[in-house]
Amino acid sequence: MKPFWPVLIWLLAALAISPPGRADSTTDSIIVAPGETLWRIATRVRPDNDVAMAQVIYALWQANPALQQAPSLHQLASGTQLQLPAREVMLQTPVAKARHWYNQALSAVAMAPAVQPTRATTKLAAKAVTTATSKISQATSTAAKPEVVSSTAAQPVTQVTKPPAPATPWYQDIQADYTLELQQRYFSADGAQGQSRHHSSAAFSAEWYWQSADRRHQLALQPYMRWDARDSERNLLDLRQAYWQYVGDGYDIKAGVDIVFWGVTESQHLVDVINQTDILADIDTETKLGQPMLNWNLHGSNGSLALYLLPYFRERPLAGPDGRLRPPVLVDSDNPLYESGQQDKNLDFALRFSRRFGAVDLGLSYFEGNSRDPLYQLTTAGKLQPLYLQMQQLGIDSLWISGSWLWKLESIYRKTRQQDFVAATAGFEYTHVGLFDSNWDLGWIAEYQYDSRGQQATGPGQNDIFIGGRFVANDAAGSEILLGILQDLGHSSSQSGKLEASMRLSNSLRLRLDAWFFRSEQPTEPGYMIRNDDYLQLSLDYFF
Amino acid sequence: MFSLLRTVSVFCLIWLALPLLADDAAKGRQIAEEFKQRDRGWGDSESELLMILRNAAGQQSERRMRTLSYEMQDDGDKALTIFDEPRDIRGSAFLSHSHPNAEDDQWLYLPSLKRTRRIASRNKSGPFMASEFAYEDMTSFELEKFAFNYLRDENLNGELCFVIEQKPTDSFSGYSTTHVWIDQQHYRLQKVDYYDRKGSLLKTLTLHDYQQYLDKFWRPHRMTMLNHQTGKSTDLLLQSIRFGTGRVEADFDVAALERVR
Repeated sequence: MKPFWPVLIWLLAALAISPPGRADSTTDSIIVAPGETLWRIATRVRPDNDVAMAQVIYALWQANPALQQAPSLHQLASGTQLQLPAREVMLQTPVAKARHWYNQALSAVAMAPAVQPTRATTKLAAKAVTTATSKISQATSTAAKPEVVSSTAAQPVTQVTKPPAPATPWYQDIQADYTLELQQRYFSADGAQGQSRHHSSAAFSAEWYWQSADRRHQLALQPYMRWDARDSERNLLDLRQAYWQYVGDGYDIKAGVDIVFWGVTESQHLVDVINQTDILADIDTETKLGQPMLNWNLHGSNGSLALYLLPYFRERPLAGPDGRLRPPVLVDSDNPLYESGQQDKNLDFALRFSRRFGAVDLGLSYFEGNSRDPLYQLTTAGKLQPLYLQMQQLGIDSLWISGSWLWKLESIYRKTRQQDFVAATAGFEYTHVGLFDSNWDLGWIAEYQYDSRGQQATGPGQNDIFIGGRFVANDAAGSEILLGILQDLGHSSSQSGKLEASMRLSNSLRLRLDAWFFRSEQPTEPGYMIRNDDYLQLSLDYFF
Repeated sequence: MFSLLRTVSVFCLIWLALPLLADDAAKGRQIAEEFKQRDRGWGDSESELLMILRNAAGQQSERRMRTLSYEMQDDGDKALTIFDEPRDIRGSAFLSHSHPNAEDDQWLYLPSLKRTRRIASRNKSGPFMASEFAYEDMTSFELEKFAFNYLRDENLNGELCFVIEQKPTDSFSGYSTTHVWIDQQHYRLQKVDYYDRKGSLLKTLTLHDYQQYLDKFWRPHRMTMLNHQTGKSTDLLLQSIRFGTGRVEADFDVAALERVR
């Protein structure tokens, strides 16, 4: 005789696992959260894998008149209270029947003429599967018409087909995303000019995006607002994107404001020259201001060519008297000087050719117009006045993938009235996945920075080496840590370092911790004026 | 004398067994070819996916994404995945051009920097979105990337299946081998056992709720990946799929990444 105790253990385990109230026939109730679909609720309340999704959905549908009266199976009013049927009720309907009903219900939704098969709606309606389900049945010729099935399951179908929804207005295809960022900076010491140690700021950005049904036309609008409690110069109202784009066959054109990134390296971005740097957002120079442009891109088997006409120049935002990370002398940012007679209306021009040769990416670029990097002149009033020279720049950027190694090179030759110079960044990134048989990744970055101007360089990197390590935990919170040190090879006392760590707190919240330190004993170096500005920064980003 | 006899008999056995071994390899390859053949001609598709990650304690978190796929005739398929949730990575996109006989080309687009990064596809054994699926589990199936061997016939959930062994030819795969259950009626993947580099059972994938599209192509609406070594699991739910979306190959170019929303 077979021992029966394994069966007993199974039964006990099953009793322990199945939550009370589901095993018997009493019903619980749940509240529909904003944006929740029937699918999502079903995944939430599904008792176990022995109950098919269709059975859960069908039982939910049967138990709730509110669902039967909803215009669509997937558009649920938030706050609706739903009765949760017991597991055995779900299992009463055979899987095949429940699935048949579900497919019919999907095609019934698709019958509504209103739902247009556009990609933009998919995202907007990602919360409501309505649109997407319409696409299923368009693809499946069999599901074109809802049949009347001679079972109890047939009844729901006819009810769902009844109310045809009104036509979707075009503006419902607009995809909208918002981000709110709260930020606190703690400096390790008072500023050299007596500025405070604590700085709070908040930023908000909205992103609206629309695409025509044929995916040829797109409109994007992304305003960005920043408010700083101490430094009013750090307040900003910017348009990061505001453009119309038309996508043709093998080409596209764009008119309006956008941000364009060129380049491959991590420690600095030499060839990236289209947009002005928003240095007040973050000192890492990764944040940019929107640039008005007319852009024409050609794509072919021989590579891509991008042409830009840039009719309006954006000045670099600079810190005010109460701000940190600034020169000791104040900058008179209201009265910039230009070499060009057209000043900020100078028509700048840029082009870039890029091509992929197997494991190698190559980009060649040219820029002509107002330099994005200002020079400073001391005025008689004892202030610094920004001066924007005209410049011509040739750039090359290249990347070579070899196994887990990425070799990178960026180099520029820049010519201004004042001087010509060459600068370059070259290095590698190597990623080791699955550290110690875990899910952890560790990436190493090493880059050498060169500038032919030596100590006259406007940036920190003239003969420096950057070493960084990026740790990625690959956990549900998406935890990451990046540590980097920039060491001047000519002056051992000149260095700077950064820490960037972040983790997700919830589906819509992310916490970031950034820290910087700056060391310099050479008054001629750019790092010297911010040597007392070591800081720690906490940011909380809310996405909605 | 005795040892000579033994050597001869061992040789004979090997000679007898060789055709059998070759037969199993040929049969395994044949099944895989039929499996691939039956999934040819779908053209292009667009799907909405929900991923539910569970740790050993039963805590859940969700990922939402959309995947656009494009079938190539003389090369591996192209796929573009756009992430919607968690919201801090929304708008990020992962583009993959797979190649049967070379390393895949992969890019990641980060909307906050408007930057497209090319990434090393050799790091394929890493987890996809912190789930129990690895990047290599998410890329398109290419015959050239495996060596096959037929193992046996076996009933699974009432379906008669071929069980074949599928060994990755790439030494950078996270698996030493996989065992694959394919049902004999429709050639649909029913179950996969993944063995780690040390040869221990690492993960099991089971595929459920198959539906047929375009009167030909079967797609599972639920896939569950269970990690035996950590107790973690991931459900991948196919919430919708649409074929014939009118996309062209140019929509899967690197240049198109920044238009993706």
